[in-house]
Amino acid sequence: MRENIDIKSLEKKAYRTVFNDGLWDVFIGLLILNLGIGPLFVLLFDTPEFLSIIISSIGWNIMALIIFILGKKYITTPRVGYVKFGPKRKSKQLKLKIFLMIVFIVNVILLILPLLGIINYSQITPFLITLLLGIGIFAFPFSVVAYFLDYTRLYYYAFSAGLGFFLTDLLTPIVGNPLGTIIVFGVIGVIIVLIGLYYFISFLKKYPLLKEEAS
Amino acid sequence: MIMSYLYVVESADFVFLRNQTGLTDGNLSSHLSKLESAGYVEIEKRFKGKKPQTMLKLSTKGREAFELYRKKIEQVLGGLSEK
Repeated sequence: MRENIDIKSLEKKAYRTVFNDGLWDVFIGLLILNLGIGPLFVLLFDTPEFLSIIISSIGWNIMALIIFILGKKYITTPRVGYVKFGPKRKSKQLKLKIFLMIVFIVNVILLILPLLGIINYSQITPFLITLLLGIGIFAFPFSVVAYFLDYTRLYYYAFSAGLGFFLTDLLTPIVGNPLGTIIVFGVIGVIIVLIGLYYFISFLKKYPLLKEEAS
Repeated sequence: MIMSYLYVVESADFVFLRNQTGLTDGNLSSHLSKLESAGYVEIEKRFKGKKPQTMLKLSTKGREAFELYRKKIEQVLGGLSEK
C-alpha cells in the first residue's frame, strides 16, 4: 500500500469515471436540442404547434433516455466495471431524486395553472417569462443536479441552456419565430452532443473491451 | 491501493478494480487471494445474465485494519518535522 493516501480524492476519481463516457453529455445535449426540434417540426410539417411540440418532445426525450440507458448498460459497465458507492453518495442521490420530483411537480403545476385559467402568461412581461424559463427550468435545476452528481461540466451546460432563452429573445426579431429558437437551441444542443461524443470516443479508446475476468 | 479503493466504495467488481488500479488480471487476482486469506476482503462470484461477475468488498476486519493503517501512517507523517 502507498503512503499518504488521499481517500477523498481517490473516491472522487473513482466516482468520476462514471462521467468519463460522455453519455451524460450526449443525454443533456439531446434534451436541450429537443427545444429546437419541436419548433422545427412545426416549420417542416405544418402541424399544430402544441401537438408537434408535445409529440416531438416525448419521442425525442424517450430516444435520448434509451440511448443513455442502453449505452450505460452495454458500453460503459462492461468496460469500467460495476461499482456501488458509499453511504454519502447514496444520501446525495436520494436528495437528488427528491429534488427532481419537486421540480417535476412544479413544472406540471406551471403547465396546468394557465390551462385552468388561474394564471395568464400573456399578462406577464416577456422578459420575466424568459427569466423564469431560463433560470427556473434550466439553469437552476441543472446546477442543482450538477452539485448532487458532482458533475462539473453540467454547470456550464446549465448556464448555456439558461442563456439560450435570452439569446432566442435577441435573435427572434432578426430571423423570426420559430427560427430563432431552432437556431439557438439547435446550436447549443449540437455543441453539447459533440462534446459528449468526443468524451465517448476518448472513453472507448481508454477503456477497450477486455475479456471479462480472470480471477 | 486495492484496499484504499475498496475502502472508498461499498463494493465493486473485478473489472472496476482492475481499471482503477491499473493492475493486470493475474496480479490483481493474486493480491485479492492473499487479502481474502487474511480475511480483509470478501469475494463473491456470481452470474450477471450469462457472464460471470466477481464482486469484491472489504470485510469489517479489513475496514478496521485499513483505518488502523491510516492512523499509523498519519502519526508517522505527522511526526516528521520540516526542520
